[in-house]
Amino acid sequence: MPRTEALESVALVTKVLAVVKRNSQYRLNCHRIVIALVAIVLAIMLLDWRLAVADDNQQDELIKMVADLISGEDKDFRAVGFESVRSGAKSAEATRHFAALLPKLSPESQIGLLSALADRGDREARPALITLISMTQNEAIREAILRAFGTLGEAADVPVLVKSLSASQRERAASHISLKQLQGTEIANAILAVLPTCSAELQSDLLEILADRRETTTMPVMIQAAVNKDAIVRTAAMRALSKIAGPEQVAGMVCGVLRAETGRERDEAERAIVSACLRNPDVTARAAPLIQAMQGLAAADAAVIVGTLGRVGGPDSLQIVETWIKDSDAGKQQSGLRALCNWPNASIVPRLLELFQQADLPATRAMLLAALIRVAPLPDERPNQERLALLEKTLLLCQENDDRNRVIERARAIRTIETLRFLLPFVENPVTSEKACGSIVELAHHRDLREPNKLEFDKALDIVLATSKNAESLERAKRYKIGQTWERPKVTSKQ
Amino acid sequence: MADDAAKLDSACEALKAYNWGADKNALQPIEDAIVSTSSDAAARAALEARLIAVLESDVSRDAKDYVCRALAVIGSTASVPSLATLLTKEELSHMARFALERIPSVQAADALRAALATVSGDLKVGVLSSLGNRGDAASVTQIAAALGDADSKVAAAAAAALGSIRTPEAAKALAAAKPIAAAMSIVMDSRLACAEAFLAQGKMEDARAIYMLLVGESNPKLIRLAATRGIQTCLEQKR
Repeated sequence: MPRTEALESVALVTKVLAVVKRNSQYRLNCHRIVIALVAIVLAIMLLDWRLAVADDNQQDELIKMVADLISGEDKDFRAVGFESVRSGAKSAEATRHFAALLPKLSPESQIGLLSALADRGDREARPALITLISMTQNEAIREAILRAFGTLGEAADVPVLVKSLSASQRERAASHISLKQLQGTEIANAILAVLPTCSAELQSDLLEILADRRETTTMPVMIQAAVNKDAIVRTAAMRALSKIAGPEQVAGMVCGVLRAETGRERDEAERAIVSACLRNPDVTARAAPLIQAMQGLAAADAAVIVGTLGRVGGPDSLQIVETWIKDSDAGKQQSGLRALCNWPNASIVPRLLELFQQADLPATRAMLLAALIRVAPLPDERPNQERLALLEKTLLLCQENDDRNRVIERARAIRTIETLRFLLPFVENPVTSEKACGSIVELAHHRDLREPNKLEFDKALDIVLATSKNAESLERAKRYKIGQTWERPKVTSKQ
Repeated sequence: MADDAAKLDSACEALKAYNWGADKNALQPIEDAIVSTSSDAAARAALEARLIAVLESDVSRDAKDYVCRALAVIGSTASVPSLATLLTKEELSHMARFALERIPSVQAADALRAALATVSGDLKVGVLSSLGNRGDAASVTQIAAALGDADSKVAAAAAAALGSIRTPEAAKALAAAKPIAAAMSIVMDSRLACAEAFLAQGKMEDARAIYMLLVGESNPKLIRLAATRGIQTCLEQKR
């Protein structure tokens, strides 16, 4: 009988006895019953103690066995030992014993045990990690310790992990993962505490980690970092905010856009604001925080932010952008046009065409044409034929071969057989040939388009094979012709 | 009802001439009867009797095969004698076992056990396997006797059957076994299976006793690994 049930039974008997005691005819036997009951309780306590001792012995035996296994030469037997560390002998004492083995083991066994302790997840092992990391310079062991901190560490371990972000590639990767994995409400504060003392590169890493941890309470610090003097920090802060910020942070993020240098940094900062605006579940109010933020800005700053407003789109934004376009000030007009050219969908195409016809300045016409080429094939509710027709119309507006090539390149976004037919004549022209070949193989990449139109695609791919000088286009054409696929080269996120 | 009976008569006639590849629709009334008699013991007994009669008659192997499959579903003690006579026949022994393995009566196990003395080679392997699949604890002694068989397949089948039965007696028989070398690995596997059964039943000491014997250096590494893990599992259990 389990111990708890035995003790519960005794308690029940005691209650029954109390009832019996009240009944005079049994009163004489009561003291005997009490003595018997006490004897039972003592017997159960003795049994309980003996079982506890037996359990302790059993655990000692298991710990010794595991120690022997993981100290051994054979990796398969070590794996059996590690399995026990992962899931067996669930007590803090056992964890301490297992962790105490660390310094006595070979490097290979140390790494295995660290991984097993990490999976076990008992923070009793943490002091052993701290001791070991101060003792070893072995990169693989340090990497394993840093990974183990992910599940076994606490806020106090953040400085060690942050320091390791500047170490070797392996240690850096391990620390990065562990900093994201650490559990506890104090981790964010611990990271913020070391942030000001770090180099720009480290701050960039930490901001990314905070965003990946979804530490929304740190967003004020991120907004502050978005105007840092160092572009690396600013970019990282805006990138972090793009992952977690919402409409409430837009006003703060505007400063980040204004502080960003024109070009790639500004472009990325503007995209971050768009991400934050798009998190507003009320579609009609997505531009509202940005419009509000614009109101307090100086004219020069507002001219920058109106471009961002164009990226968000929507009727409220359009109204403001139109006011800018119609302004008598040429600078404001240009800012308004730039905003319209950033529009996220094709709803402004008629207006772009109208403005293109009216524009005199070559730079303005080029900007509007580029916008038309960009938005014409954007996927939306419009039928493919309409998208392609708009692209063909845009092609007629092109005066330069570069623009024509851009149109041909964008055509690949409209995945229909009509697009293939549209592209084929451009293969014959040496100026547009390579772009047309690139778009044809891209269309052919999509099996659901290629297979139902196999004959037409085979002919087109033969033309590509006979015409193109581009190795990638040739390779792709060959593969698609025989029904194979092609793996796109991987692009890293920071590229 | 009369229509159904007529269809069944016709199907039983068709069964007598049945060969694989023939139109199986002709037998559909038998399939229907198997289903429709599930809650009518008398009707099911009558159907069983008709099928036994076919089994005992001079019909094709394929027809008998079909009957055995049907008796695996509806067979009772009444089917056992007829099925038992097929256990020694090379072409039909396996189908007879297919039915006998599934007939829940003690007589079915008795028939299989009795057949052990009359069959050899592959047929004996099959009968041992069927007794194991039935988990027939009463057969441990007879199965254990086959552990020392000179035919390695028979010895291995006996060991596997004891590993399926997994009683303390089966474990003892396996521990005492001195089979030919080719069957040794199956004996060890079966001992591990017995230990696992004891673990599942909470008999830690019994399980551990087996594991401790298997963890010895003389045993193959995989067995030692399994035994080591078994000992750990025993030690990890709270009393």
